[in-house]
Amino acid sequence: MLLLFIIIYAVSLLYAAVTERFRHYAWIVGMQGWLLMGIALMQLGPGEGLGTKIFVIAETVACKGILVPYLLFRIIRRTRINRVSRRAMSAFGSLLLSALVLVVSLSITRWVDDSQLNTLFFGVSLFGLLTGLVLVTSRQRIFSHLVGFLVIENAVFLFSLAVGTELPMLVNVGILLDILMGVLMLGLFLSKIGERLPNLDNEKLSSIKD
Amino acid sequence: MLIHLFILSSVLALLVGVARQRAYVQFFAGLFCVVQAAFAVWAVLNRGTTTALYFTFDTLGVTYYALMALVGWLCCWQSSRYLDQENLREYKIYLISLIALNVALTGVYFANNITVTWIFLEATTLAAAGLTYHRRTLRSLEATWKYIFISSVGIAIAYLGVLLLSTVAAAAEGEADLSYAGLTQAIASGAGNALYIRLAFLFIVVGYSSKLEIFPFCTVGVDANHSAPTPTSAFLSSALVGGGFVAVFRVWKAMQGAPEVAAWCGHVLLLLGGLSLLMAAVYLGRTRNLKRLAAYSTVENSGLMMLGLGIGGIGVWAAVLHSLAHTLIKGSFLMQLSVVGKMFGNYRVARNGGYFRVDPLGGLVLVCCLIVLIAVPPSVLFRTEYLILTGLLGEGWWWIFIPVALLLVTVIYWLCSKLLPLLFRPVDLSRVRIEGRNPWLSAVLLLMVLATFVAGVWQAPELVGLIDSIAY
Repeated sequence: MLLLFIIIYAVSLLYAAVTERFRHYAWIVGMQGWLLMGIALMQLGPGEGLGTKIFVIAETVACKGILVPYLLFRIIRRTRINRVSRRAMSAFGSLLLSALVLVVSLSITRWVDDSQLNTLFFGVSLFGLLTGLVLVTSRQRIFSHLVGFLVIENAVFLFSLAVGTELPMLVNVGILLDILMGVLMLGLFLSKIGERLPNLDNEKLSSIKD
Repeated sequence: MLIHLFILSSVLALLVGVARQRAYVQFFAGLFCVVQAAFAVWAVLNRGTTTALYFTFDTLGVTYYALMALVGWLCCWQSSRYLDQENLREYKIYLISLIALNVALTGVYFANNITVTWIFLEATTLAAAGLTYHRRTLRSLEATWKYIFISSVGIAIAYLGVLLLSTVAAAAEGEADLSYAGLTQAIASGAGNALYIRLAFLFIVVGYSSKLEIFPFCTVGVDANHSAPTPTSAFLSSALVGGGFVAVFRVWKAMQGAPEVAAWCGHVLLLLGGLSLLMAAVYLGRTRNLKRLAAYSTVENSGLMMLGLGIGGIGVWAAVLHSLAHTLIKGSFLMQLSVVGKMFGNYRVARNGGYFRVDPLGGLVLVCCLIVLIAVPPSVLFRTEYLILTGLLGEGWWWIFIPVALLLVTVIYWLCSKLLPLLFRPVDLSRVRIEGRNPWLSAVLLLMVLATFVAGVWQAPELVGLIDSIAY
């Protein structure tokens, strides 16, 4: 079951790299939240305290699985923009780049191969991190950048599971704060940028120059 | 006691928020400055103690806190004049953000645990964004968006480093003790995977680079400085950069237990420092805005700090002194520039001139700041840069020394060619708003800059002891 969740997560990353519709991005980010909940709960095991489980569910489902996609869909409805810019990389180019990223992630994972790390989680989280960076750098519209950041955040969460050691509560609080940061960014996006830049084009946010 | 400070600060921020008259708003903001000053005294008297498990009043934290309290007070004072035309609501949001940034930086300075430092650095992003967006223009929106976005990506990358260090701590001690003392022990024991430690350091330094204003994420800091009201730019360029330095310095120090890792960290810092210097030298030449000029000067100085840490030995001593002096100097320089902006109504290099004639005291502050920034005697930065350059030669790294020296000469040229016309170029001064002058502020700033001159000529044993206790 765990392996199935991880495979679905990796496929969702591949799909995020090639899709051009913002609705699909929102679905993918939401789905990753639910997948992460399943993965985290299976990792915690039955002996873990109820408090920790509630914390993980709050982090993953409440924030990543429900709140974040809800805000993303609100942005889409409000701005009425559905696709990434036509000037963005083609779907085939994105697929090639994504495949390259996957190969790089697997190679690094094979090279690291260490008993302290869960290599499966490590490889997929690295793939997620690089996919997020690709989304940030290769897309024109800032909505895609935001999704890239959310994909990176999910990858960081998966990476915390890859570490395998029992992390102190402080680390979990840090991850929750990171998620809240993402939610706040969505809030800013919704309330300010959406008002000022109806077409969400990155070029409009490039007036500060030397 | 620190928890009391946090609670009191929150109460004062709340009072600023609910106050209905400008005088009350300023009173509560002033009261916050008094509280900070009192706490700085208390922290000095209680150096070495730990409170609330995660905060230690060590010399590094206490020194930066005292400097932040000073710059924060000046920032509050000048903001009340600089933003005198603002509507009350925006002014209140500005001051609440400023208080929040002070509180977040307090946590950064005193945190003895890498996760707590990370949490408070993340909080500084939010507070600084509130200040950067103050003007509510498209430009400030752009700067704020970029600042939040890039800082958050950086912070997420830094968090990967924290997670990697947790594996190292767990390998050494069985449980992930992420206090700096615990990390130092774990790394020195050699139990953890050296690759993870190296990657962790790289991730953390790159992640924090937007705060410290070094390559690669320094550009968002420059944009934030440009868009924020200038008294705030002074605070960001001094106290927030100091916060970034403290965060990186603590991690760097934890790495020193393992010689191979320490050498690798040194190389990373040399590379990032050199690239920051290069970037600053190029963009100082391109920029036509005085605030951006000051911001790129910060990138240059942060790059020098990284070079000092990268060299090790005497370079570390120089880097710490450089960082402390830079906090005072850049705060003074930008605070005085805010007076220039108030009087001239803009910060364009090509349009302004004759400042010395309309505000001799303020002009003197800018001349002294220029002397310090270009690092000619009696500047304290002359001493630190001399130590860093001789440190490079001492290590036999002449191939780094030559480009660094050339870049420093370029920086000196650009700073002089863009600041001296502001002071002495004859222009029509009929439209200058003389009432924008703030002679009392200029007098305080002059005293601060002169204090750094004294430190450049003569290092008192107390100062040497202070730097020694931080650096070694």
